Amino acid sequence: MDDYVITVLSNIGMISFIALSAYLLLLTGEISFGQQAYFGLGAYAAGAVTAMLLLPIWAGILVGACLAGLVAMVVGALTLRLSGLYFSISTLAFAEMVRLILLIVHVQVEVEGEMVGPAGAEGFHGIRWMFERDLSLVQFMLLIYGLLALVLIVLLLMERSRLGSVFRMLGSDDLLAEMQGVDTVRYRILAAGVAGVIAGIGGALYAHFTTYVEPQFFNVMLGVHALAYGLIGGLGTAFGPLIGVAIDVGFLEAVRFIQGYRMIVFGGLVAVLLVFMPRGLLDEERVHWLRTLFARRSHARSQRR
Amino acid sequence: MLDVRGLHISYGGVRAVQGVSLEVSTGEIVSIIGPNGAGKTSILNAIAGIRPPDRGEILLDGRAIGGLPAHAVVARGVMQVPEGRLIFGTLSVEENLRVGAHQRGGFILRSRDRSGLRRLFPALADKLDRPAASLSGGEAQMLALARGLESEPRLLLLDEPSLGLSPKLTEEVFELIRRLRDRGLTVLLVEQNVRQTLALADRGYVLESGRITLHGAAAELLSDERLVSSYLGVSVGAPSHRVPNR
Repeated sequence: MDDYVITVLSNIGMISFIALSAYLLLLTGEISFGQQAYFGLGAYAAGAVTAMLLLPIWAGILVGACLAGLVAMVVGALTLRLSGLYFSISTLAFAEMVRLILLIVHVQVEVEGEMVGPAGAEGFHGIRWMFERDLSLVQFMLLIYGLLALVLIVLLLMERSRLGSVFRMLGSDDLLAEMQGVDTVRYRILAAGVAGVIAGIGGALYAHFTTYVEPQFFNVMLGVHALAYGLIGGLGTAFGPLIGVAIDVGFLEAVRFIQGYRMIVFGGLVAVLLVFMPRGLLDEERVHWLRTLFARRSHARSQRR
Repeated sequence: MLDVRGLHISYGGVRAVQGVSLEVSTGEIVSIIGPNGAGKTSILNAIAGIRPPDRGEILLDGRAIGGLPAHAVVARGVMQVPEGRLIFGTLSVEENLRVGAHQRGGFILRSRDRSGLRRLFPALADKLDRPAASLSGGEAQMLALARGLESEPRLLLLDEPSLGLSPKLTEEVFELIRRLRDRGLTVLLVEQNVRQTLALADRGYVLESGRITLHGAAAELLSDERLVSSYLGVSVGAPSHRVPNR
């Protein structure tokens, strides 16, 4: 594999985190235009931990994920009473607020004769943990996909559990969920927190993969894409948003002849899908169909034995 | 078991319920009947904690539950099966049922639940893994009822269970409610379907424009001339000579 392919694959992996983050909120019926804020917070926090405090990367990822999760829970609690458009706009406003704050944050420390830390609009340079340890791109990609697999397994288990049902209930009809005895306030905040943690992990990895981050990267387009991935790939299973990422970053990025027209193709794809498959390629119906198909296959196999 | 006193509910200045008092004793089927917009659903929503009343007391076993959030009311054994918005379409039938089961501390359907389901709701038992959105209207109504029962409530609030059902299905649902009462369930039933409802219920309250205009034993109400002439006469079909010619 050449570096280009590895970079594309790594990007798919890292963007998948924010896609899963937005997906989780879509399950609960909330359209967040602000998951990029938690991706950004995770990136800055993790970068600060490894580049400024010189701690290992797992500490950076942990701090980034926890900070993003905590902030997300606070924002979730504040926006609890909002729904629909009002919720979406408040998440967007918060994310822009975070981005604009990062534009003016200027905190640097001297590390081995060099100033390291967030420098406002110039970004946060010198997050070189990966290079200082001579990690290859492939090794870092494996780290990305290892963590992604972990998050995915947690989400898939969650979907089979009561928690997953509760999240889908909130998305289906939150008043009815409340009538069934679900403490909707608690579960909304929990969903916001988990989504924040997932985005934070992605951001932490991103900061170390690119070695520098700037506030501009965490603008609203990242959040819009994150949302679109779930809507393209489908809301029936956590694999849905990953398919969405693969289609956009993998296919559209790779197909060079539509370079420059990529956003037009992407936008059109989203529009067409929303009209014909409002809950994406892998929606609940198709997931059910696939499951029975698999169940029948494995049943037939065990019969033959 | 349930004691509602002087309930007042208004929506943006419009008074929907004005001083309603009613009682439900353990093991009874009590019905609230009345035309559209009389305030029947508002009363159920107030009891279930969906919308706090403006004034009035709601006591469950002598303890005030008025103003508690809905999930806290459910935790006290009161389950509402709402009208219209019935099921979680994106969940499977079984997941819908589990939602109810969780209320009494479980998540997986027990074998007792499954056999009960097969007995009471045979149509659902075969469709457990189907997405609930694929059910017919009647099946969805059955699922909502089954999910409500899965939580093993002490008091079941039923809002228009016959809505959108064929006469045959309505009869099945009502027969089911009767059997559940015989097993010890207490039911507060809101209906427009007056004759069948009063045939099922032990006692009834007639609600008109937010006030209770009549109440008593269901059999008495059914033979009450005021009710027959003012309301029943229109609803269940008066003798043919009183129907105006078209």
